[in-house]
Amino acid sequence: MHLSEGILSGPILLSGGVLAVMGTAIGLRKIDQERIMTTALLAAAFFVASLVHVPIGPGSVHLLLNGLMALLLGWGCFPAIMVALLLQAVFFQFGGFTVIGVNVVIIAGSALLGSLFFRTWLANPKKRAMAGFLAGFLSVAWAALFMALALVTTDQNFLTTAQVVFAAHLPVMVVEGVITMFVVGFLARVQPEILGLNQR
Amino acid sequence: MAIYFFNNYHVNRHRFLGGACALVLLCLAASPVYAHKVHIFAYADGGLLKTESRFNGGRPARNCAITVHSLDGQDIVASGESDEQGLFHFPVPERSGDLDIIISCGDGHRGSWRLGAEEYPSAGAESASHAHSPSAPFDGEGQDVLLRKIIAEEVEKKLAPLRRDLARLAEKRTSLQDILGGIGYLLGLAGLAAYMKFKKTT
Repeated sequence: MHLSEGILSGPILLSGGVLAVMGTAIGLRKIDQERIMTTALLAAAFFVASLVHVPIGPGSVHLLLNGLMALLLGWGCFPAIMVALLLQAVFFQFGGFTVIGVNVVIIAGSALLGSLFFRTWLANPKKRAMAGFLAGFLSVAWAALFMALALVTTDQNFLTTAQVVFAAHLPVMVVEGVITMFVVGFLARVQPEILGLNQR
Repeated sequence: MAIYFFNNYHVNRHRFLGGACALVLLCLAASPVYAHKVHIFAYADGGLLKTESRFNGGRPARNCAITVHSLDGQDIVASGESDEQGLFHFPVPERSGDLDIIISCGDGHRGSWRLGAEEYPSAGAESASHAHSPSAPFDGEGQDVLLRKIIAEEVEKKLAPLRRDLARLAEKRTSLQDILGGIGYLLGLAGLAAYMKFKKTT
């Protein structure tokens, strides 16, 4: 899910950077003191999850956990993903420094789009599992679409790219959906305040 | 201040411990070799330059476009697609020089490898000795040239697997230190953020 350096053109990199900085600024303002540790832990989980390879399907893909992050953090997922991606570029050589902005938009923006709607479902015990699965599933699906969109500007055909990326990530979507569903269910039982249930 | 922080810590302690446990589990699941960058390396084998490409998890990078650029002219020396095993080969280019070999998999994965001019035998030298040898196979000088050529070829054959191993070793692998280092940074940043917010509220 990390675009490598040297693929995208300057304008795309720049607009990605601008959007990423805006999202991060909004996210930073939304994180209050109580949520700092949660944000850091989820960022750490995201940082490590990229090393967990999903050995199904045609491509080389890994876990993202972006749906889980957006579900629990909302806009706060932007700064968390930004920092985690920076660290991944340094330590794992995933992605790269010039593409950070685009990668943040692909991963965090899609997660927000895929999860924001389901955040209100978390309070409802009947809908909670569904919200977890859908947020995890849709966040990866949107991310694949965003990625294909970013690659349109290269000489590749959009439909072919979208198909390749989508097919590669289909197993990840399902796995992410299931993981997010279980994590949300587990947290609701053990640490409901992390879902924001006690605060409202 | 200390009391405030301690109280706050107490409230968050269970949350923190739960998260930390989950993180440890995730670390165990993440075997350091399982990453997803695409790797490519090249080595000389006889008159061919061979490339091997795979994702860090060990999966060969199939059907990925490979282009070979010369560094001096920036033009494309060879291009093609990796096969089912992630392999590709092309003849040694006419003009020797450093080569940039770039693999692009169409889904945003891209990797490159630089093959130095000294790492492969030049095509020009080989063809020159070919032209020389049949004309005077038995005079002293011709024999000398022929012998040199045979030795060079044999050495090259023996060197090929070594070059392959060296190229493979040059890959940077993700280690446990990298993972723990990253997590350390994140926790440190969280501490810093907590401190800044705390200072603002007081």
